[in-house]
Amino acid sequence: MAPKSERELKDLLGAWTDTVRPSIAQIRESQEDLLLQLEDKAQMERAMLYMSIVIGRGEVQMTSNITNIGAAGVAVTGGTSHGNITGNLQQNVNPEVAEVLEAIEQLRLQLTKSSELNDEQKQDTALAVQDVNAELQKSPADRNPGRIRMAMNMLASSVQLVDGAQHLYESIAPHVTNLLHLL
Amino acid sequence: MSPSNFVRLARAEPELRSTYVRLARWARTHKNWRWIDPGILARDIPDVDAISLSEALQRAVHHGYFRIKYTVLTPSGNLASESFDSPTQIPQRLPDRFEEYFDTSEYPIVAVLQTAEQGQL
Repeated sequence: MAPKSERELKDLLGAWTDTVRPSIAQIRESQEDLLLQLEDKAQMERAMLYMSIVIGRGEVQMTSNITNIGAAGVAVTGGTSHGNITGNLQQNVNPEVAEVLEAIEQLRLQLTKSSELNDEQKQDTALAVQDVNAELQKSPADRNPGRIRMAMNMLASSVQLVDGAQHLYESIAPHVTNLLHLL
Repeated sequence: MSPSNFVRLARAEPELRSTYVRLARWARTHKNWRWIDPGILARDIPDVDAISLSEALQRAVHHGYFRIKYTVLTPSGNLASESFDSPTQIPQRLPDRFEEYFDTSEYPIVAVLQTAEQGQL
């Protein structure tokens, strides 16, 4: 199979973004379909990087009426939604959850851009935020309080090292506690 | 990842210069990251479009500044703790961060970038 032209590759990537659906299994299937169309190693690498960016950034279009995106447990009630399937889908969810998710993203940015945390602490922070996001977006019955408690404890440690972050954390923590019934 | 590597890439790939300049700025605050999750990187620099960013990162791989590895998202949406040289090498089952095994064939594949230092995710 000959390498695709730049235009063909961009068209393939664009088509993937436009058609991928918010079912975890369908995302995987669509990835495999796309990769089957590419034989050139560099183009496969680029396609995988592109898909990872789109998934991570939350640019996947959600257009179906799926009510649950599988193991990630995100409730989508219909219509078009934009979000991060790895844990930041913020539309069509409980407004309080959406507000907390937005605040947590601000906290993540503040912590990961700070000069007070070292790189390992920043990576731990990013993982803790992912855990909080993932748990918040599950249905209440499916949430894992232990996982969220560990993540919040980790964030509580980090914010003490970063100027200004403690205030933001303290504005978020009561809502998380309430949402997850951690008391 | 040293910011100066992105500066070198900006010179080597002038059509992607603005993207590499943005990456160099990002790298200044992430100098010691041995692994880069393109998804997290992309969220940190939302002004760079996915097409340009993926091309710039792949060219960085081509020039030897990174090794590209592959893993899957776990059921909770995190990266699995092991990574592989090819998507086809990802085993059928992997543990998540809590040592619970899941079927990898049902979850999205993601690329991660490994800098010169070795190590697992």
